[in-house]
This record gives sequence, C-alpha cells and structure tokens, in this order.
Amino acid sequence: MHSLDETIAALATPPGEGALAIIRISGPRSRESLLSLLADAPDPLRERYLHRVNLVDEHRRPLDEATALWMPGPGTFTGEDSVEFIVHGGPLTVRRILAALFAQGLKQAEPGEFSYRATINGRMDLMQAEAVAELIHSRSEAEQRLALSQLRGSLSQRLSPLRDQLIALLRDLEAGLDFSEEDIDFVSRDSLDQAVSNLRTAAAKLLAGSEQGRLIREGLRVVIAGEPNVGKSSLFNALLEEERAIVTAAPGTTRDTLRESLNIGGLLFHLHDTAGLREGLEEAERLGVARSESLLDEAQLTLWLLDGTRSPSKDDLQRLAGLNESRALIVFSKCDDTAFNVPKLDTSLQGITLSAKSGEGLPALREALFEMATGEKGAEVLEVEAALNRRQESRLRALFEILEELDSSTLAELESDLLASRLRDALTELDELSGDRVGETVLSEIFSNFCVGK
Amino acid sequence: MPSYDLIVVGAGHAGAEAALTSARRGFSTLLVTLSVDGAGRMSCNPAIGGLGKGQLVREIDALGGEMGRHIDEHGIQFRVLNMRKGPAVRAPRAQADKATYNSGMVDKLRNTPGLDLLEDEAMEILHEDGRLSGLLCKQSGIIQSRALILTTGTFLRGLLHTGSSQVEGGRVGEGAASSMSDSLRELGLSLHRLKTGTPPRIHRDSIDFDQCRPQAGDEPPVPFSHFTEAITGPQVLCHLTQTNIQGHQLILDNLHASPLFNGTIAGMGPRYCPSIEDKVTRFAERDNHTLFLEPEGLSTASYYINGLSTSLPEDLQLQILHSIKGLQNSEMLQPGYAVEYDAIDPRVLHPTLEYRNLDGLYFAGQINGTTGYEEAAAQGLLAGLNATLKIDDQPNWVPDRSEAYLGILVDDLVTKGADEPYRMFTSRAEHRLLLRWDNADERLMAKGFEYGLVDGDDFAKVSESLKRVERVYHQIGKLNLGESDARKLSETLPGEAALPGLTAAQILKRPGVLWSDLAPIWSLSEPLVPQELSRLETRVKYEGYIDREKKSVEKAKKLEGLSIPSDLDYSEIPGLSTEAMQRWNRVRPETLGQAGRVPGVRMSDVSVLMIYIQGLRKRTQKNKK
Repeated sequence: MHSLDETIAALATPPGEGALAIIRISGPRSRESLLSLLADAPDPLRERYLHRVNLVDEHRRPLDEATALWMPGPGTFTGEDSVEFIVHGGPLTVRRILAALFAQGLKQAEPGEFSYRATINGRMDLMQAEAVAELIHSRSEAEQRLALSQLRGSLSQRLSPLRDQLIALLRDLEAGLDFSEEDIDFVSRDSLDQAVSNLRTAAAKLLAGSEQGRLIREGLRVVIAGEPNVGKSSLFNALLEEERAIVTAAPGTTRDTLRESLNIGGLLFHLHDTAGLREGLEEAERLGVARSESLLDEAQLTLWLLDGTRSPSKDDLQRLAGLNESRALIVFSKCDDTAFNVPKLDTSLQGITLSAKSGEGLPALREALFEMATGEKGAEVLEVEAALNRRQESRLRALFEILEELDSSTLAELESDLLASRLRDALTELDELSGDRVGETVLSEIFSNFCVGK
Repeated sequence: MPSYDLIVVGAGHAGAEAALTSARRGFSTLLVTLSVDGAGRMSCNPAIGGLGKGQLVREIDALGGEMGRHIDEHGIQFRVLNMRKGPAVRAPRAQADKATYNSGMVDKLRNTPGLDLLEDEAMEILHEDGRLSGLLCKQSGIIQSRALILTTGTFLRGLLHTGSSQVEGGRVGEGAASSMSDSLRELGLSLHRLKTGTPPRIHRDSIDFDQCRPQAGDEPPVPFSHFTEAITGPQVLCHLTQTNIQGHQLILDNLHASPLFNGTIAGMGPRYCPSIEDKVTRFAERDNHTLFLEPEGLSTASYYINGLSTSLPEDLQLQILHSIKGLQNSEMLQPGYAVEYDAIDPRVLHPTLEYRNLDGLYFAGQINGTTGYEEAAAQGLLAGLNATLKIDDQPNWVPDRSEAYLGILVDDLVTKGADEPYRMFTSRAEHRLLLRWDNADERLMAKGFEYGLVDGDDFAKVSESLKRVERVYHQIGKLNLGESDARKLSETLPGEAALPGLTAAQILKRPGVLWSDLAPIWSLSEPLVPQELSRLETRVKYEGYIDREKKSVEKAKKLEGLSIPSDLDYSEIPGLSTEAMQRWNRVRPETLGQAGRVPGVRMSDVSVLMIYIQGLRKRTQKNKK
C-alpha cells in the first residue's frame, strides 16, 4: 500500500462498456486534482453537491462532460478528502481521465486500498471492512442484505454478549485462583457448568446462522445430469435465458462442463451443464463423462433429465434410485413434443415436466429449486441478519470446539488452571474473530479480497 | 573523591537485592541508606510470597537472588497455596520473623565483600553529558559512580496518616527524603502520589485465641529456595477471626474521620488491598470480613491484623478492635496508618529499568509504582544485573512475558504504567501454565549461573535433577500395563478401569492419579525425591496444554521480534491516530508486540505502525545497496 500522504485514484465501477462510470479519488490532494481537471472551476465549489463540469487534461484538451462530487474528510468513506467523478462509461474515456490524474502524481489505488484507508482512519472496524468486500462481491439480493447488515455492525453486536459472558466467566474463575486466601465468594463448578453451557448455546446459534449465511453468500451447486441428448444444454440455456451452451441434435455434443450462476428469488444457484453419461467413444468425451461423475458427487442439488419422448433406460432407473428426494428433482424434457409421455416410475423424487423450447414448466422448475434450497424455512432463510465468512466461521468453530471440550464431566475434574487456560484460548478465538487483536496475516488477507475502487 | 561502579540508594527489598547482585558480580558497590539497621525491614505485613508473588520469589531465587534463601532462614510458617487447584496456580507463602529477617539482611549486607554501606541522605543525582556521574549526599558530599539505582520505596515525600494526624516519614519512626524529589523533577521525571495502608498491631497476650480459628502451616514446611534442604526453625500458628455488624457500623458512623474518605489523601490506593473503610462501604451487603492474626516474630508479642488496614483515628481503631471476636480486650501496640508517597511514571523506563533520558540511572521497587516486597526485590535484582552488564558493555537481559513473571512485571510497568500500586497476580500471565513456581529453575537458573549469581555446584545439582526427571519421563512412556496388574489397578484407581496395554504415562495423565497410585506396579528406573515426582506428574498431566501454550508463544514472538527504531518519530507516520501517537511517544515501545499492549491503542494503529516499520526497513535496505 502507498503511504497515506499520497492521493490515490481508481475506477470504482466494473471495467468495460457501460453507460456511466465512477472514478474515485482519495487523499490530501483530492481537491487540488479535481480543480486542475476542470475547464471552468465552479464558484463556489460546494461540498457534497453534484457539479456539472467539463473535464480537460493537462493540455486543456477536453476529456469528457461529467458530474463531480467534492467531499472533504473526515466524514467520507475513507475518512480522507475525496472526489468522485461520474463520467461516460467507455474504457477509453476512463483511461484518459485516469491518465490525466496520474500525470499530476496521483497513484493508482491498489486492490482494497480505499477500504484499507477507511479502516486505518477508524471509519470501519475489521468486520465492517470485510462486509464491504462482501457487498462488492455480492451477486444476490439476500447476500447484499447480509453484507449491509454486517456493515451496520450486527455481527459485532451479536458477538459482544458472548464476549461479555466469557470475560465474566474468566473473571469469576481467575478471582478464585489469585485470591483464594482472601475474603470473596468463589464460583462453584455447577455455576461454571451452567455458564459454559450458556456460552455453548450462544455459539451454536451463531454457527447455525452462519450456515444460512453461507447458503446466501456462496449459493448452491446445481448439476444438470442425464444421458446424452436428453436436452441438458437446452435446459441450461433456457434457465439462463441465453445461448450459453452449444446445442446440436447429435448426442455427446457437450464434453466439457459449463458453469453459470442464476439468481432465483434472491438466492444464487450455480448451474453446471455436464456431458451426458454414457460409455464414451473417444478420449475427450470419456474425460467429460468422468468430470460429470465427480460433479454429481459434489452436487448440492441434482436435476436428473429424462427425455420425455423415450422411456427411461436401465441406467436411468439405477441412477434415480440412488438420488435423495431432498436433494434431487426429475425433469421430463421435451413436453412440447407429440411423443411426450410421462413414464410411470417407482420413485419418491419430485418430477417437473417442461419444454426448453417453449419455456413451459420453467417457472415451476425455478420454484421447485428455490423450495428445495431453502427447505422448511422457505424464504425466511433470506432474513438472516448476521452470518460469518469463512475466516470468521472457522474461528467461531474453534471457539465452539473448546466449549464442547468443556462438558460437564470434564468441568468436574479439570484443574482450574487448565480450565482457565482453555477459556482464555476461547477468548483469543473470539478476539481474532471480531478483529480486536488481528495479526498481520488476517489483515492482509482481508484486504487482498477487495477489488480496486472500493 | 570516593568512587564506585554502582551506587544503590535505599536498602529495602529492592535496594538489598540490587546491591547484593552487583557486589556478587564483582562490582564495587555502595549502598546508601537513611538507616543501615533498617535494611530489609518488612514495614507492612510479616509475610513473603502468595499468588504471583511466590512465583516471583522463586524466580529471584533461580537467578541467584537473596529473598528465597532469606525467608527460608527466617520463616515461621510455610504454606503452599492452592494445593488443590493445579500446579500453575500454586504458590508458596511464608510468615516471617520480622526482627530476624531485618537483622539477618543487615548482617548479609555488611558481610558481602565489595559492598560498602553508608548511612546518609541521598540529595541529588549527578550527571555529565547525558550520563550518570554520581550522587550528592548530605553528609558525605559527592560520590562518583558509573551507574545508580534509586530504590526509595515510600520515602520520597512520604506522609503518614492516622486520623487527622500527619507525620512526614517513609515508615513509622523514620524520616522522609524530600530533596531527592526535586532532583528527579530536574531530570524531567514527573512524580505522582500513590498511597498504601497498613493495619494496627496488637499484643499477643491480649488476644483470646480460644475464640479464633487456628491455621497451621504445611507439615513438613516446603522451602522457598531451590538451595534450601529443609526448614529447621520453629513453626507457629496463625489465627482467623471476623469483623461484624457492630464494627461495620462504627466505621460507617466515622467515615468523616478517615483521611482516605474525607479527601485528605489524594493518592491512588490499590483496589486489591482495600482498607476496612473501603470494604464496609463497597460491600455493604456483607456482615463480616475475615481477619488473619499473624504473629510478627518469635521474639515479639506483636500481632499483625491482616485485613484491617485503616487510617481512622487511634481511639476508633481500638473501639473497632474491641468489637471483634477474640479481640475484645486487645491492647494496641501500634495503630494502623496510611502512607502517601511519590512515585515516578515507569513508562519513562527501558525494560531494564534504566531511565530513558539518563544513561546509567535505574529505578527499582515502590518508586516505580509497585507494592510488595517481592515485586521490589525482583526489580532490584533485574536493575542490579542490567546496570552491571551495562558498565561492562555487555548486552542487557530481560526475560520476556513467556519466560518469567519478572518479565511480565517490567513489561507491564514500562508499557502500561502504574496508575494504582501494581501487584503481581498469576492472571497477569498470558502463559501461566509455563510460568509455574515449580519450574523457575528450569526457566531461569542457567541465566543465574551465566551471570555468576548461582554457584556452579548448585547449578549442576539442579541440572542433574532435571535430567533425571526427563529420563524417567521417557521410561514411563514405555511401561505397559499387564493383564493381572490391570485388574489390580482398576480396584484402587478412581474413574474408568485401567485397560491392559496402557502405558504408565497414559494412566498417570488421568485426573486425580498420582505416581503413588502406580508405585505398587512399577518401579522407576531411578528413584525420584517428592519434588521431582511432582515435576514428573505435572509434565505428564499438562503436556498437551503446555504444548499449546508454547505454540501460541511462538506465534506472539513474531510481533515481539519486530523491533521499533528507538529514534522513531511517531508524528512522521501517516495515518496514525493522534491518540496512538501520544501514547506511544510516552511509552516508546521497543517492539511491535509491546506497542500492541499499550492500553488505549487500536489494532488499526498497530497495523499502520507495522506497515511503516516494514517500509522503513525496506527503504534502509535499498539505500544500503
């Protein structure tokens, strides 16, 4: 990272074509660099006001017609003086404006540098910074809500009672160790047991929330599988509403697996189109089939496709028997075909009939996918307020494991000094979770997760 | 003009250890005190050790200091505290014969070659070109030295309060030292007021012991020192009694007469050693508080009423005493009092206890804001050692927080300061399982030997014992339980059955199992004395936990290893919060780990500092190329 004396600039919106793009500047020279880019400086330059401006380079050649926003620190995202330009979104325009800024000595912001500065300047705590990273990377509404609620500090809030309880417990325990000669009432093993059990419950609750959170953040892996030429790629394209996979009438067209993400009802589904399962004739197709098999093993949801114009093969029936009703659906394809006929099957799997060509049955499939993903909780799943990312979850799990190790029978016989040592370990996990005492690695890992411009 | 390598000012517990350390290391040493006969005097409670403090004494002893051996010679009751709570929180404590503890220390100081004693008042610290050059004394004038350790205890502008009466003095019957405070201010040191209190002493023959509960020492008494074979002196009982509601009411009715409460005393007192006035107001719901009646020696009738520290007027103290069971007819020999004194802010010191702004000037003991004989002695030894290392141009030595309570003590002092009098507790240690009273020798004695403070034969003996335990440890990992022994053992052993094939170490690991339970089945390859056996048991039982702590020490060391340039200008660091800048400028932390422990500093500030230092290092490396 650059020194905080330097002023940094970067594109804050995704690169590439777009109607508009935002360029962000932060640091002591923000105002100066803004003024130098203006053909005519507005008088007065108002704070937090969208000025319509003409941008020019150092040779006063026009760059773009834009809006500019001047925000003096410390009440800004980074806590520093900041400027934002809303410019026209062509890559060339953006490149020229940035070049003009760099020509004045501004530095290209490194990944995560804006958030880094915000954290350093005390504008965010570590968990909030992580939440920003997640907000940027969020691909569904629910994920966005989660990151936003984290940004408002909901996880910190949820952790603080846990921390308070743990500290209270340690305080009581330590008092009995350091002041055993003195005149105080010591905590009994029974009440210790009760307190540890309360902590365990609280930690378990947070962990459960984190599973929901992971579902929201990471989405589900859905594998579309079936024999060759049953219409897997057609279904894939239809769900995505674009011609992503090549579709031909010839069996075995798809050899590699394709992956695209789909948002249904605010939840993210990662669709995998696979090579049809059959004894492959040549090397490439054989490898594709092998890959399909391993994807099936890892699938969180499976869509088993049957060609509704043919009766299922022996292989199909075998496969279907091995699928779990809570994790798989049967899709009967080609329902627009005159030869379509739903076969009688001895299975508890839910079946959906559809046509990729006409779109019939697609809404029902989407609905079924969403229901299966959210389970009993239904759309409530999306309401989870505080969830954990992987670093946080592994810390919380370590904390939970310590608490689990301290069960009633262990508590009854464990020496007090060892008990205190384990509870201190638990507190360390919690501190690292909340970023109260983060080391170098955690911080750098967090910031490398950020994309430029944020 | 007289000249010494080192001058120690003050002959309390810090001064005595400092002077002995220096002289034993072969440096010409002068000990300046207002009263030679007062050297090593116990001005407060007649006891050494306790939780945290006992560990410190064991460390002093492992480093070749005097306190452990001395209490073994003059102790009249020995107990190991927390025997039922696990080895990491056990600690030795002993009642002392105050008179002989004091006179014995005077004799040791007098008879130490290379150590001169001078009865005089130290007036002014002398220095030339930023280096310490000597001391101005009231009678003897200027004395030159290369280093000086100031251990003035409670004597700097000491003020004793009993009720509304105030007497200048550091201890009862002894004058205070005031010109030194001015000299320190001239050196740029700011002084603040601390206070501490002490309870009344009463006459043994006026106590009705039948109404009190006796408390005996351990039998046999366990010595403090690694070098003491056995405690041979006579042992005595202590007694317990309690305050009651009548007494509490008496105190509440007269709070206005207590200088602690009516505003006369401004100094900050220790929360963990409250006066009885404090106890009855802060814990109003309690209708009694335990008191310990501790004899002050074999040849004195004086009893110390531990738990009844007060500065109420004398007549009220007597009335309160008379309200207590067993003390109805007690005769007071000396009333309790509070003492206020000047202390420096220890954040101006290096971890060696040397003043950052004057080479060669060291501070140790209560003047640094600590309480307790043990904390003082530990600092005295460390200052004495480092002052002499510096005179010899040798690298200094300070144990870190994972090596010794002594390391925690000085790190806390120079990092966090002491707003209230600082006392050691085991809970101050992050790695308590590593810092046990029973392994101080393992941790530190090699250093004591290296610095010439531990005798070669003694060190060899301890090393041999450690090796013996190590060999036996490996042996019992290979002893397997046979079928018939398993049946036999399961009958006597608590908890689960002992299955055949288990090793002796695995069974010993179980809670509640001692080697004595297994001794009928297995004999050790070489006999171990009881201390060695308990070392073995701890080693086996705590193995997993200790390994875990060692790992976390390694992790923490990465930050400890990042040193901060001593001339770093914090105002040059971009992005540092003003608060962190101010706090670090005051403390001047020497490592990044220490910087992170400075109270009130945010983790983000530590990151900024770390990034800056690493950048600084890279720039310097580039420049070198």
